[in-house]
Amino acid sequence: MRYKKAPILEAVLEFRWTSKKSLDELKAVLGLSIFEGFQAPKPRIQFETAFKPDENAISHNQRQLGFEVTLRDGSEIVFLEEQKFVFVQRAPYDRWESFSEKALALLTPTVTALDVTEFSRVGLRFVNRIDIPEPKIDTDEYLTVKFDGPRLDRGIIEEFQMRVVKPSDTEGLHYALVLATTASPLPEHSAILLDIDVFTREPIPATGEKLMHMLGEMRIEKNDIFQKCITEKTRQLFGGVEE
Amino acid sequence: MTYVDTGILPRGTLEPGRAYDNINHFFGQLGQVVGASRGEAQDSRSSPDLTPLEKHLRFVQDAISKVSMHLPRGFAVGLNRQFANMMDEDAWEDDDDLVSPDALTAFIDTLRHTRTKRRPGIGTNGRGSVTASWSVGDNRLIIECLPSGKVSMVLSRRLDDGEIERAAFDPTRPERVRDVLAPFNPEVWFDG
Repeated sequence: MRYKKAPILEAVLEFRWTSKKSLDELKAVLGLSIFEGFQAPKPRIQFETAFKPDENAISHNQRQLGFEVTLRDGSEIVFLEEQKFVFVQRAPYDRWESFSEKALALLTPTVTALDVTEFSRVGLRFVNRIDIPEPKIDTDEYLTVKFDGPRLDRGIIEEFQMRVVKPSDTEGLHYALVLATTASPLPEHSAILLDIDVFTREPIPATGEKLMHMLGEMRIEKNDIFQKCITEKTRQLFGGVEE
Repeated sequence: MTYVDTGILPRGTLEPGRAYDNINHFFGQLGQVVGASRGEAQDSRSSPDLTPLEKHLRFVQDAISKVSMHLPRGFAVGLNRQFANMMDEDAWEDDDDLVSPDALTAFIDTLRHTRTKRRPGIGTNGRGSVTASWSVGDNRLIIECLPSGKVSMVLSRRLDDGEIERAAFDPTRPERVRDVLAPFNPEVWFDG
């Protein structure tokens, strides 16, 4: 099933490993022919600021974690860091087959070159932003997840943010679910963020049938969580289903 | 006591391409508030060494990407490619102003409100505007999306008797474009 106006803002596949790779090793990988269509690598920097109240001091630190490459039209981004490979497909998202094929076409030569044989974590994450053509909404009409607080009070929920992490019914899978109100880029619209991250915690081979099977399971899980979070009224915002 | 300001994200508009970072960062901060004896603000961001033009192109592409689901299929990818060509380091005149955010919003609103099925050609006047153009035979339409958030229009339209009529319109709001153009049968430009 494919919605005409799927609310997918970003689709992400993330693969982590345990052994740290050097910046030189990472840079060499980005020189492979599979990355020819991407622009020159940019460093990916981590900034840290620590406040130490006891010493009345603030310290700053920055460290390069790896690189980022982007297609010229901005549609795809790859983060290659010491311990992870991340493929980001930005909106518009087309379909699973093309998304996963593109990610794996980059991943497989990357892990071969880096001599990664096993992933410590695999994550499939879809960030959805559901635009609703009303300036104010009752989120209960659009989401099945409800706030069951200690008091009823009056009116509707004006803002909320929620993050839940729990194991799935599917063996070996966990998920992190973020639901939040957010700003819509469209005037006179409200928006709901629905961020679904399905992931593994057990080691899994970096290539082969087991990995492919797990990715398929993760996709099914992600779709099921999405469908179970939204109401029929929300589905109607997606412009119907394409044949 | 540690104070970490969590009031900005994700209430603000999400940046596509960076949602992966932004949401992680927001909830990372929330986690650090609880029981933190030492505050740490941690962030992962891309290169600080992008040129101003590269940064602005990224901003433009993000803005288009995040409304792509409300545009006809293929529009966002095509437009992002067009902007990449227009804002190429070799092609861009150093003296030209970068595309204004309000002009870009007016451009996107124009695409939405006209419900055009044809992707326009794009350009800029070097003073922050985005120029959208449609040309079908002798029928030409240029909409200039201005840094004021309004749009001005110039058109030439071949009538049934072969005469070519020309018209120009002072700046108006993007949502008014289709109505203003109604007497000229704008489907010739917008319905592909």
